[in-house]
Amino acid sequence: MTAPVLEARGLELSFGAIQALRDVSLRVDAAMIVSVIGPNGAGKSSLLNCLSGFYRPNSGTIVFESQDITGLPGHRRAAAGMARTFQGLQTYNSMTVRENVLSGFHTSMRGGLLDAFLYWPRGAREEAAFTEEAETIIEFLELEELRDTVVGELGYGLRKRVDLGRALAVRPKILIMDEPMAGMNADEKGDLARFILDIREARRIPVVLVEHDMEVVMDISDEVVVMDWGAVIAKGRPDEVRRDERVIAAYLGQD
Amino acid sequence: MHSLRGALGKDPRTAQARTLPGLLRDRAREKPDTVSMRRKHHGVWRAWSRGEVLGQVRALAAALAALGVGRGDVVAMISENIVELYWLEYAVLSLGARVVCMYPDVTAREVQFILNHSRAKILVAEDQEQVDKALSLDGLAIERIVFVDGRGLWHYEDGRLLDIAKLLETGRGVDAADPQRFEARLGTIAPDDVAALCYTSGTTGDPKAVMLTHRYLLDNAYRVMAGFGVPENAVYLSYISPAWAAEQITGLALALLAPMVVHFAEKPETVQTDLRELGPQVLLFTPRQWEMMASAVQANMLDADPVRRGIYDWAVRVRRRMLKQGAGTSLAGWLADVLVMKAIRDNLGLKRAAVALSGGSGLSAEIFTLFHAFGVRLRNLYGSTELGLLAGHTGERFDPDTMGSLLPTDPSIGEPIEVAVANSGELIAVQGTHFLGYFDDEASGAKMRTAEGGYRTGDVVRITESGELVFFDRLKDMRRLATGAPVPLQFVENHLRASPFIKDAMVLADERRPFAAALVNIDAEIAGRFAENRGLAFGTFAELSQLGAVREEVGRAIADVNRRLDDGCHVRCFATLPKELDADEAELTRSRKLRREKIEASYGDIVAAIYGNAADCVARIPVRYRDGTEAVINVNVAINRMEP
Repeated sequence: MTAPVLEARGLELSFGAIQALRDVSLRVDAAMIVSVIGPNGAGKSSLLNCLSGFYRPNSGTIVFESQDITGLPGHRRAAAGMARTFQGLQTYNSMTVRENVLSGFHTSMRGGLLDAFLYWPRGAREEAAFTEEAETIIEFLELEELRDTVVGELGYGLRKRVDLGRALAVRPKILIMDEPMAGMNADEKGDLARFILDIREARRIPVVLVEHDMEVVMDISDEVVVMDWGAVIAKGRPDEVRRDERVIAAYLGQD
Repeated sequence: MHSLRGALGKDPRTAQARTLPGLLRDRAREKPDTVSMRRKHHGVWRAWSRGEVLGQVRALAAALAALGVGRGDVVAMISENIVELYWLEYAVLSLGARVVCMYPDVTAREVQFILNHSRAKILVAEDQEQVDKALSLDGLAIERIVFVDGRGLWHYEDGRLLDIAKLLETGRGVDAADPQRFEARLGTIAPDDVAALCYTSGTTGDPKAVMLTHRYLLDNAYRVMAGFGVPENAVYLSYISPAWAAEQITGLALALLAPMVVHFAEKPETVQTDLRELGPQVLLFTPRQWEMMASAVQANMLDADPVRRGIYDWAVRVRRRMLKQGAGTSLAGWLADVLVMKAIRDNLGLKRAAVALSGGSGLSAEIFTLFHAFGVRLRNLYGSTELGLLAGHTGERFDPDTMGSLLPTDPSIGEPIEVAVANSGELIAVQGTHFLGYFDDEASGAKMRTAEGGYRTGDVVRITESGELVFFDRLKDMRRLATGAPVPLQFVENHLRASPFIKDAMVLADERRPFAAALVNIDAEIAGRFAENRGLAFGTFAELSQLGAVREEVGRAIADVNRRLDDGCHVRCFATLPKELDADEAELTRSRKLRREKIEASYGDIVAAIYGNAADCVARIPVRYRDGTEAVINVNVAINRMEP
């Protein structure tokens, strides 16, 4: 078996008396969509925050691309190829779609302010290359007709797509998405689900997804991790999880 | 005038007994580095020179030949207008094979019919959506499915699927190994070979496949080029589907003959932006597409602030008046152009449109003149899939009511177009068409033939004194009087409605009637204002409708229309209805279409008086009030006779 892209082992995290994560382990292999589900307060966001470096777990290890990154701060993880989208929107609303996607490349840009300002050949060459790459992302997300539209004029579903474009611009090796479907209508959810599947298929980028919409989760995930009270209570293929007694009792049964 | 003969064209760019791929090769030899196609991708235009296009076509031809495509075989394609589709078509034609293009929104059931009927060997399906249509069908004889966009097809295991990138790659090798093969194959194809099967949507039954030859495509391309003056290397945006014969003629044949630089939009959603950016010199849209463009402008203007809307209205008014008077540009007209029309043309991507064509009948004179007010030299183009392009507004003439005069034909190909009007009013194409019949359906083709060897168009037209064609209606929709004279009902009613005084009009004409007559529902608002301005008293709609001055105005409108008609079908008599036609009383449908039987029954007294040669009558008209009660009102209605 090849090495996992991302693996967390025995994560423990507490805030004072509250135990947010209890012995949580997670494994994400190449080109896999892993969804984390659970009721509110189950520890899903705490887990994502540990994975992307916003929280540091009290104990346990996180290995990314065969490197222990447990102590690595968030921005270094981003530079190493870990992209994350958040609940809500992280777009620049007064900039165009293309500018937003281009802004995602800032971690990869080498030229300094002076290069950019004076538009010296190095800066110009770099910009041309990034523009081409941004256009590839725009094509991938089917945003061509909106490339010069100011993001603030777009609806939520499209803005979320632009958000995803920004995340793809860091050339990620893994994509972590926190409730991307929240606040979307059925069509928008369908579109985004298709893009997530295409990211996996065409770009071979594994995805970790926290999502409340069970239909979407069961539809697109390769593996579902179910959490309750800070602990993983079940994991497996969607059809296995769906039949799991504890899952039904803790979560699915309430729907 | 009952027959017309066109002319041979003087444009030197003739086909010279060549085929499409032969011409492609010659154009590439003449100027290999001149740009021939451009496609927008990643926001920039990528160009292919004539030499490069030929290279792609040669590679695809070699690969298709290796797959067993040969003379007479059929390659079917479902795709948007993309550059690869055009390379593929030229490649297929270079093998002596034929193409069938389908509209991208074709249903799986239609795909099944067309693939089976045409006995297609290979299907080109643009993307997952189109591939899925084919894969949903059982029992197809298709050997390969070539796709262009592989997205979403990663896990498809059907062995027939083949990526066009692979085709290009292997083809390049095969072509390089034996470069003489392409030339040799070109030598075996002839101008009378069938190039494309074009399925026409029959209103009844399954569609029929018209066989379009190389000769047909190139002669028709010549007609557009010489008739409207298409310059060399004209910028053209490929927009209408090649499933329509018109795009086969312009986008594929004229593109080689003129030649033009064919541009492909990034994707259907960006066409408007790309159009604007490009400003094509040659455009051919359907009447519906022109109407949509016009209504987009009008809708935008409704949203604009009152000042801008006022300026727009003023500018349209000034330019319309200028057109009507036929005088040169006045100062106001110039100002309107600079202030308003320039911006509109730019916005619509029409600022460089030297040849703007509306293909097919039915563009209303209103929309037609609106584009002329915008400063766009819009021209009508008339023809059919079977018989090709016959007439158009060539030169400086553009009467919105006509389809123009006969187009010039390619002197290296054939005789000039000749048409005649039969007694039934039907237009007959006597010569100059290249109709070969329908594929696998000899009977339907034979039915179009006249005893003299011409072809029936199915369209009722009139030839004006100036030698232009006026389209009335489809023959099957025409009404005939007791005298046998055909009356173009829709044509007359549409023109009557265009008069400001007339809201609706119903023409009485069928085999029981010796002459045509009209029942007119006047426009209460316009007629009311008109009466007030003249100090004419009226209390009710009924009184307004019977005012002498109002009836005179209606009479003038009818005389106007009569001037466009043959004597036998003139509207000889009319009455203005004393009550508005009402959908609540089932006289109109909700979309304001006339319910003829119901109207004839309601106004039976008036109809009887018209054909009884009375000067007036007392009409007893049943009305239903809003509260549901019914009553009969008696109104004196004048019967107005037109002077012959």
